[in-house]
Amino acid sequence: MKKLLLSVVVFLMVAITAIAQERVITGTVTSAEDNKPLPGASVKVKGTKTGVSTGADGKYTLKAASNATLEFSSLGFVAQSKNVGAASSINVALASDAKSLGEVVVTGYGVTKKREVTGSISQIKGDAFLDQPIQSFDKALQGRAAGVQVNSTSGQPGGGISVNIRGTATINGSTQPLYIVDGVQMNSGGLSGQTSVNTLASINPNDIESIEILKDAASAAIYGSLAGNGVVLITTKKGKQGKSIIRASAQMGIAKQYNPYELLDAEAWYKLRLESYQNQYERAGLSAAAGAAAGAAATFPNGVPSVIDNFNWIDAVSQTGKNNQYDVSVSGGDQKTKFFISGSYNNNDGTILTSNFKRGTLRANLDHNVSDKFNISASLSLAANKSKGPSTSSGFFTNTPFTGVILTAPVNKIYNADGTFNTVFVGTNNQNSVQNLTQEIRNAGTFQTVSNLAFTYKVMPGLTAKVFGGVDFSDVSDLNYRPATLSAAAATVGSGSETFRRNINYTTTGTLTYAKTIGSHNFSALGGFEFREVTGTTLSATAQGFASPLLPLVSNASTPTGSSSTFTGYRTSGLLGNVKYDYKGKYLFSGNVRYDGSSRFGANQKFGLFYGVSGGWRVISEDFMKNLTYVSDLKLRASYGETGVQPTDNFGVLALYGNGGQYGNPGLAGGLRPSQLPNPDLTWERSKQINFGLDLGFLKNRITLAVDVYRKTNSDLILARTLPGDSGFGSINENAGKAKTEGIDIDLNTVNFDGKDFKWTTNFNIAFNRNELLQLNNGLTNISDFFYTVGMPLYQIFTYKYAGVNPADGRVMYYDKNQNITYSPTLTDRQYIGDQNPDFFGGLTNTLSYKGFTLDFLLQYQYGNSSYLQTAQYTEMSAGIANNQVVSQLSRWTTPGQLTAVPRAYNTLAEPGSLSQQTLSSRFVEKASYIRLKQANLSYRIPEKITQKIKIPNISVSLQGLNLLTFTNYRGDDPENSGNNLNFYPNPRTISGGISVQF
Amino acid sequence: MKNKLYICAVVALMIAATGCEKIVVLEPKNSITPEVALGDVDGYQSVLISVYDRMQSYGYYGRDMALMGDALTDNIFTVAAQAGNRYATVNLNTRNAHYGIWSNAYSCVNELNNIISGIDNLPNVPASKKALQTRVKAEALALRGLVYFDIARVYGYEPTKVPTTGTNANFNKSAVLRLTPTKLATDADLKPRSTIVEVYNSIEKDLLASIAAFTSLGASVPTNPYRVTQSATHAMLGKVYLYWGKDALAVQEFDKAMAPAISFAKLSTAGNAASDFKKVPHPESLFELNYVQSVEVVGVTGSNDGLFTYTQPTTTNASNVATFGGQTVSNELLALFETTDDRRALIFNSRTGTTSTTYNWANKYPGSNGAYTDNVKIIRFSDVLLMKAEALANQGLYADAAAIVVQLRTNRNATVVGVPVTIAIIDYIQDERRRELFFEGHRWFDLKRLGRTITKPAQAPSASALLATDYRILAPIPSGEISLNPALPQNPSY
Repeated sequence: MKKLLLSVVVFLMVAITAIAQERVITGTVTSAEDNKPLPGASVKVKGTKTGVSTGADGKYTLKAASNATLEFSSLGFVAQSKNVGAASSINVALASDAKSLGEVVVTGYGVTKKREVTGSISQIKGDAFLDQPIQSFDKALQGRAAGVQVNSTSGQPGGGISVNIRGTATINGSTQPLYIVDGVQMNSGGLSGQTSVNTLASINPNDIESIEILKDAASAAIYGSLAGNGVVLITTKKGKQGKSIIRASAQMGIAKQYNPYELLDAEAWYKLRLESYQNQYERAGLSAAAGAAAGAAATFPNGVPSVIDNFNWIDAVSQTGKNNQYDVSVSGGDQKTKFFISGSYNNNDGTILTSNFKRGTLRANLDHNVSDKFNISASLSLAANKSKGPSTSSGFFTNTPFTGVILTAPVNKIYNADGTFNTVFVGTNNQNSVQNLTQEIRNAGTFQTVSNLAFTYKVMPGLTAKVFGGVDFSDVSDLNYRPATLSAAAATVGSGSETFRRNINYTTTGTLTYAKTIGSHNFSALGGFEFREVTGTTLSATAQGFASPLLPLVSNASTPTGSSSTFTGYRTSGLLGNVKYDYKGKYLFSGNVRYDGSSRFGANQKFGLFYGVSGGWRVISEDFMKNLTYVSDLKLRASYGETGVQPTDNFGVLALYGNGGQYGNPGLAGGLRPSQLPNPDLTWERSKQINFGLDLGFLKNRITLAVDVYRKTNSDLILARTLPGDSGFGSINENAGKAKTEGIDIDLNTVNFDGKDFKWTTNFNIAFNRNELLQLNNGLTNISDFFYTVGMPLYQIFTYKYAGVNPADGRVMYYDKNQNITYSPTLTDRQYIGDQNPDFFGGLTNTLSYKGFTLDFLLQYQYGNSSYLQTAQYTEMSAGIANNQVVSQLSRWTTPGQLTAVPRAYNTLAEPGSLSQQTLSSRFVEKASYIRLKQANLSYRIPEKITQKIKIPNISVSLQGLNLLTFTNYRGDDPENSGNNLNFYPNPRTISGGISVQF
Repeated sequence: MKNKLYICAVVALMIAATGCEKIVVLEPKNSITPEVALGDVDGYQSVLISVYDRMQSYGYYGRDMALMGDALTDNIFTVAAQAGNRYATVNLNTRNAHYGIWSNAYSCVNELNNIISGIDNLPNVPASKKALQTRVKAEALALRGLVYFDIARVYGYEPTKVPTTGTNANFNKSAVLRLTPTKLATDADLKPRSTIVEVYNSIEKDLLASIAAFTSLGASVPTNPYRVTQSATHAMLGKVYLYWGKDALAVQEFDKAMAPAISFAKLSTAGNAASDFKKVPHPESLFELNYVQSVEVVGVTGSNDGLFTYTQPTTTNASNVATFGGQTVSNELLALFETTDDRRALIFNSRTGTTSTTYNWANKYPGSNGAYTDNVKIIRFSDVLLMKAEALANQGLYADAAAIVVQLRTNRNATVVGVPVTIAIIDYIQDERRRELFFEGHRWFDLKRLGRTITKPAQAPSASALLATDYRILAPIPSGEISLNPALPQNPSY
């Protein structure tokens, strides 16, 4: 390095002596806006290759002849030229690009200036979620980008999330976008089989510079057959030339369980329970007393105690969550080398007993110019995390404690008198959730790296070649252990399993870019090749018969019960290209193309062509706009493209024989069986999208507005064609069916007040979306029991319509198909109740700053989606089952003529001639609209006057809250978890305080 | 440097242009192509193993064929609250609460079709594998006969018992007959159901072909009853004949099935009836499905679905483990036993961990093969004996029939005074079948094939008896099959 520098210096000196008439020019480049020095600005002698960059103090020194012209430029500023003349010191104040549209936006395989964007791309800057108590960046997308719907699928720290861009128009394809971290295509989803672990949690959110979301098909088309659900591009921070910046921050906080349920106490519950037995016996022509006796025998097999003790199971499994998060980063660089290095440590206790997430991350982003032409850059990251927590799969009492404890009747004691766990229960199959949580071990440990290396070579002016290799690698080890003290494992004297998973996902890319300006015509082109392989292997062993809970590894078990290994994966490969053209920056055109193949496609359809074209007209640049001074930006955009959605089954197109179980004795033999029929025609789902957009700016862009209207039509949907069961196969997939989603995304940014000390800015975004199923295969009009019905929205809720409680006898009434009242509707009486798609959703962010104080808060909202209330199918049963009940059940029907919404108590729930009260009907469907104060952040930057004394120029303290307030009428667990809400781990309320220093 | 980069880029583009197809191919490692899988005799044997594995599933022989027949009739009173609702609606004969073996049975059929149509065409079978080749085919034929017999008796009537009145009058549809494998999606064409006689003819043909193949291997006593044997195949064929009303042929087959030269099973001697249910295998088994607990009944599968969990009281059973026990012995069944009868010892009275009410429990599934694990006895020696007695009685040979019943009862320490030698022996045999084979899944099929009314335990007041003309005598074919192919057709009234 030093040698290199030395040789450059020597070279320069030689050059200086050769051109004797040149002399030294010095100066400072500043920003015209705040008069602060501008590091990293480029100073060039026009028409030569001589040029330098300014230092951290904005100063520069170079040699130039007196007849030369110096060109000063910096990203985001208007370039200036100065003649040298006789001056030996030239200071320049660069004006920032007035329209602030010099900002760049990352697109596929390149960047483009924001003002030249012709597709529909949302950008979220890393600052928006810096130092927030979130473990993965996908949570940061919530409420910040129009048309991007983000829902948390688990409150487990570091747990999963679901992201949906512009609605859904697929049935069996993936609905999740393609994530790309610094050019590396990621596999999204869960990593562990034991608890919720998000693969994206390996990226420390504080390392992120920006997130771009390619929403329209024309922008996403360069990613071809994987881009049908949009693309999320994550760019991590790079070092900047200038003085090294060290930043450190620490956060500490607490989290509380979000629990909307108010449950009965033991005495009230028991009373109601007896009533249900009495009603049942009376209905059967027996005496109420006999019913009460039966209820008592079933609830207290060993006799009814004189005092009925109450046990609060929710409190018993809850704990106060704790967050600790520490970050440190160093960034900087000189003319040749730039770096960003960071480390972080996270330790989060969840709000459910034993739930915990720990993570350490390391990152080094390096960039080095070997020569003027040759550049090497590398992003290296390593993350290790350990997760402990409840299962991701459902199972009332053994797996997921939250539903389990709501349902556990309050007469069940937690501990026996001698301190051991109670294992005899009423109504929960003898499952003690506290015991399950504390004694069962569910651990997941992950090592993951998402790293890349790129070589860039400037072949000739305008032509650049780049070779890129990236890998997303993870090793996951899962451990599950159930000691013999748990009833599920009692008979086998403890059971355990260990699983080792390895996921290797690598991408290699070669691209050539060419840019040329001829007069007012700007032209650029990119062409390349990409190959990606994703493989996942697992190796697992299970065993039973453990000596002691202290030795939970399978090696300590007496009897191995199984071992298995799996392999799966896919490959994609394609040629890609992009052309851009604009005339004077006024008329813009961009085209993307990708010829893409995948191992998931059938032999007859291995490769497909995906493309997108878009155009824009920057009306603001036209002469006739000059007089409209209040309009600062006006651009019209239009785009059309076709992308793909890949089949989710990696080997779904092949004829295969697979594992056919085992049988025999002595010598258990393995079986083989035909697992699927060949399917050579199966291929991608075709996703066509048209987008029209408008960008508007007023009053020097104090108000900016972006509106996008789109329609996405997915055809060739992958659907199962039912085969006659007597053929030995259930179905075969085929490309048929059609669905569309359409909507409007609106993004409004305003600077409401901009004073000397006080500034207030607002971002408001809203997205309207609707979808419709247009066509199914086999001539069917519905599949999945009306969940998908032609002509209706996807995710339809189709069931019985609830008509309330009959005041005469307290029984549940329904409407039949003719809207008449009935007690026992049949399947044909089911009707459309609602669908699970919101009418609109979005977010509102306000940032207020006054001197050193900054307050920002984000409200997230969603409106109009119907959601199930599955927990209510147990807790709103008037104690007709042995599960705990919510207090509203006390107002159950008791006397004729009584008007109430709660049916009468009836043990077993099914009165003769009636459906079971538990039967799904519109009684258990409710709109899950909500507004949630998702994030609030108050920070204070301690004045420099004070901090200078301790030689730290920048200290901020902050206070953050997550999920602080929720406004909703929804009776379920958490409105954010729409869809299946049984066994859901609710999102906690989190409050944390932090400090950050920078110097 | 510059050149290298050019080369890289050019190479990359060339790979893209030339190796397109190959570059996006990735072969699975957990599965293989049909050509590899069916390349030798051992491959076919592995497919046969898969069929046994499918038969083990709880929806087929693993539980429902072994127990549901008792819950559908009068041997079981289901205590719904204790059972976690398992079989609660089955016990009440609620519409659609029935056997559901269609999909599983036809998966077996397709695999057996692969074996039967392919194994003879294997090229270059080494001499040492010839016997295995014959044996695999013999077992496959026998199992195809058995599976079709199950489909026929679950979803259709017996040839001689088609009702002549009511909703189901003259309904003679049985299984869909598919005797060739499905190898391509186009092979899975829509086929209607065949008639009862067509299906019975096909079953007879398969079983006869199987016996011929077994016979060619020579007579030998099997070491265990875990796979289909020649003796079991004779018993199956006899049973088919009995259902068909071909009593003389049935007797011939039952005699062959019990021949000591080829049969593993022997009639247990007096005093052992109860303890034999704790033995693995049961000494009377001609064909018994074996389970290896540590591999096949791990996790919660056993405690959720196994025969043990269905029939043992929760926590108050011998192993003190939690169950979904709710299938209790009905009072009517208990009343059939004399106190000295060895088989009475298989019934015990107990409360459970969650209720102080006591019920009568059957101890035929005591977890004899590990936690929550019991082998399923598909054909037992005493079953064959009683079927033979029935076939004799049907021919008017009452004394011969009575002699067999006496033989069995003597071996069970039951009194033999009062065993009739008149036509009354016919009903007596059915009571004896109840005493001998309760909780083994036979009761439903016995009542059905005789066209008798299905009576219900008095403990279940909301259950009512089913006449032989009731549409619920036949199980519903899965509704998805009907919407795909209405011409199957569905059984009447479903």
